[in-house]
Amino acid sequence: MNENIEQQKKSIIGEKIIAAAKSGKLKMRPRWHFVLRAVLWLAGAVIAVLAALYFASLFLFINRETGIWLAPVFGWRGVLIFLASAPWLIILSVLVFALALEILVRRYEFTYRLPLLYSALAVLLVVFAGAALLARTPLHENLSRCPRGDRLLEPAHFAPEASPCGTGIYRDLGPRRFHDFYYGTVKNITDESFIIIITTRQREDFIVRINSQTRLPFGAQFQIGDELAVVGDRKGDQIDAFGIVEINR
Amino acid sequence: MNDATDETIARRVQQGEIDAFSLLMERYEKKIIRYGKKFLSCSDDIKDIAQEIFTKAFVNIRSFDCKRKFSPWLYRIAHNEFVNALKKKKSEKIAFVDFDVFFPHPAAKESADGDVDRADLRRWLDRGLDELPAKYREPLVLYYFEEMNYREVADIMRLPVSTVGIRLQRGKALMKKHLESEKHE
Repeated sequence: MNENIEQQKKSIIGEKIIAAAKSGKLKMRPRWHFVLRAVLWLAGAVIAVLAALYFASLFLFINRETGIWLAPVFGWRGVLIFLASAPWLIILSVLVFALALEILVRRYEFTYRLPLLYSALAVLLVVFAGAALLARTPLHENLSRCPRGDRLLEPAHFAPEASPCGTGIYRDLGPRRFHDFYYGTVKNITDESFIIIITTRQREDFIVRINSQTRLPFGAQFQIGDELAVVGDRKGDQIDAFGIVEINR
Repeated sequence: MNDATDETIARRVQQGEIDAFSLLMERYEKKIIRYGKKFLSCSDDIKDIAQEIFTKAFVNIRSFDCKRKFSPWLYRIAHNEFVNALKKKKSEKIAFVDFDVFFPHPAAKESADGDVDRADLRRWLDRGLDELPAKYREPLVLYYFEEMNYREVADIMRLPVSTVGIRLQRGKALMKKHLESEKHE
C-alpha cells in the first residue's frame, strides 16, 4: 500500500518536471551559461594567483630593500625586532589570496582528490617560488620610482610631504624606520675601527660604536661603501651596537 | 531507447528531447530517494528534495559532460541538496573543517569486498546506519547501497580517495562498536 502511494508520488514528480519543461516554465540553462561560469571561476583563480604572487614578491622585495630579514641573525632580540617590524599587512594579503586560490582550485578534480595538506602546500610552493622569481625582476623597483625616475625608497624624494608620487603602498615603505634596527652605508671609519659612521636610507648619519660585546661577523673588516645592518640602542645620533652584519646584495 | 546508456539519453535531453528526461528519472528516482532516506535518516520531505534534485538536474543538464558517467554527476547534485537539508535540520552537526580531508591516509585503499560480502554488509549496516554521524553514513550508503566505487564516491563528495577509504573503515568500526554495545544491553 505504502509502495503504491510512493510510486504515485514519484510519478507525480516526473510528470511535474516534464510538464513544467514542456510549458516553458522550466528551462534548461544554455551551454554558454556554464562556459561563462567556468571562465569566471578560472579568472578568479588567475586573479588570486597574480595577487598572491604580487604581495609575496613585494614581501621579499621589502625584506631585501630594508634588510629587516637579517634581524633574526642577532638572536632573540633580532627575532623580536623582525616580528615587530615585519610587513604583517602584506603577509596577511598573501595568506588571504593564497587561501582564495586554494578555495577556487579545490573544485577541480586534480585538487580535491588530494589531501588538503598537499594542495595547500602546492599552492604555497607555487606562490613563493613564483614570487622569488618575480622579486628578481625590476617590477617593484620600477613601481617604486617617482615619475621623474627617482626611487621612492631613496629618502631624499620619498619624504611624504615632499614627494607624493608612486602608489601608496610604496610610499609607505620608503620612510620606514625600525625600532633598534638601522640599515645604512658606511660613510667613514675611525682608525681604531671602533666607530663607524653610517648613512641610512633616510639620509641620516649615525655614529655606530662597537664594543667588546658587539656581535660581529667572523673576521669582519668593514670598508667605506659597505652596506650594514646594525641592531643597537640609539642615543641621539649614536648607536651602541649590539650586533652588526654586512649585507651582500 | 530503453537500452540506451544514461549518457546517450542525457545527450538527447541536452539536444532538446525533453521526454527523454523521464527515462533518466525512471532509472534514478528510486535510487535517489533511497540514498536520501538512508543519508538523512528520515523520510520527511524526501519527495520534495528529490523533486528539487531532478529539477536542478534538468535545468543544469547542459553542464554535464557526456563523455563522463552520468550517475556521479546526478549524485553530486543530490549530495548538495541532502547536505543542505541536513544543515537545515540542525540536529546533525557538519564540521566546516575536517581533519580527515587535511591529512593523507596511505593505508586506506579500496577493499575487495565480494558481492556476497556486500549483500551481507548491507543487511548489517541497515541495522544501525542511523546511529552513525553523517560524514560516515554517506560514504557507506554510496559504496554499499548505491554500489559506487571509491573514485565515484570521492567525486560525489569532493573528497580525496584515501579519505573515502578511511571514512568507510571508521564508519564500519563505529557500527560494529554500536551494535556490540546494543547486544550487551
